[in-house]
Amino acid sequence: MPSKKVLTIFLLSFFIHFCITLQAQNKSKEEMDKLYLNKKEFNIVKDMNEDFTSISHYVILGINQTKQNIAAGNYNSYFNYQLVDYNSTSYKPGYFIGYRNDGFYKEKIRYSLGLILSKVVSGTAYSNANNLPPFISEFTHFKAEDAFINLSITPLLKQLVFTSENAGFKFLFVGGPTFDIKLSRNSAANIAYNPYHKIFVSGKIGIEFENHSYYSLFLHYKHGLSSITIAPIKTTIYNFEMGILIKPSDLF
Amino acid sequence: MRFRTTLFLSIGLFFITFFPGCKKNDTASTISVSYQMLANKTWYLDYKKAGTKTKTYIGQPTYVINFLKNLTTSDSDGMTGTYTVELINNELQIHVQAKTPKENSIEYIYTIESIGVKNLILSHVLNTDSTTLYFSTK
Repeated sequence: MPSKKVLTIFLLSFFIHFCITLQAQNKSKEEMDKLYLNKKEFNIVKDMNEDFTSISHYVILGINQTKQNIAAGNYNSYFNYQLVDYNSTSYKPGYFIGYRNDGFYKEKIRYSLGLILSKVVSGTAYSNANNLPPFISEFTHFKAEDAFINLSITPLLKQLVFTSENAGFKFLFVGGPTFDIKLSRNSAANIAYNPYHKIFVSGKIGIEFENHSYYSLFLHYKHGLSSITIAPIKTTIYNFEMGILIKPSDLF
Repeated sequence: MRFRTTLFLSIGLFFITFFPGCKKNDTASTISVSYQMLANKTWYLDYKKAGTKTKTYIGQPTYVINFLKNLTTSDSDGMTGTYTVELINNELQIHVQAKTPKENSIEYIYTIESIGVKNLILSHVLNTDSTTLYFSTK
């Protein structure tokens, strides 16, 4: 289970950010400029901020399908887990919700920046097994976690593939890194050795269908670039995400 | 403005997530998982290995031991008593304090070589001879 403190802070921060955004939208342009220029300590950010234009805000939500491949290597523990009970090569479903900023960098490059809270349930495919014939066949000393709660930071570049001026829709190709922060705690079996990294890095590619800027539908594939476990255990995670992007103003 | 807020929020959350989760209780969790796997089961001796000799008991009357959730134990030799799981010098052990059918007190220690939901490998040393016992739940 994730730390209640972290979840509370995340939800509170998201709410505060949302309120600030709404408040900013109610101010006149002059007021906003004045406020903006007064913050001299944020000059670097200000310069960066000027490069990012046409920003849209979206609520992002959907389902994911996840699998992990585990090579336990020479990891040893007091426990044995028979693979007949734990091995699963299938993808398993989870879900996610979050916030995404879409816009242009230097008026040319389409980008997005997402903060996504996801519940990941995963199939666990073990690529090697221990044997102790004739007593135990095919077991592992490492029981992989099959459920996580992650906070993902996802900066993506977007490339327009096809647009229809008449119909008003666009197809886009997206790609970029994803930084997943593991919020959930380990199960009792993994507390002692604590084999999981706190942050996982993945690469993400996908396609998005944007309809009149009202909403977007997307399909993303995420491939783990680093092991989510520490040596000698190597665990690679694979994930498909399907979902929708909606403007908060259309929801509330 | 909006980008700045999102940027700071991202950086803030990045650091906040590192504050919790620093406490560890390795021994307690190892023992807790061991109890979960061991307790409320009847364990049947399948193999006994002493030195280079291995004897099988599969398909034959065999030694049976129960470990219950209330930390009591009984076996097919008629011994009854209590047990605890302990982690001492990186050795996971079962300490049994029991009474024989003739009410004589006996205390013995098994070292857990490996434990699973359905399999248990114990070893114990008697007069410098080490014996490994392979149990299953059937």
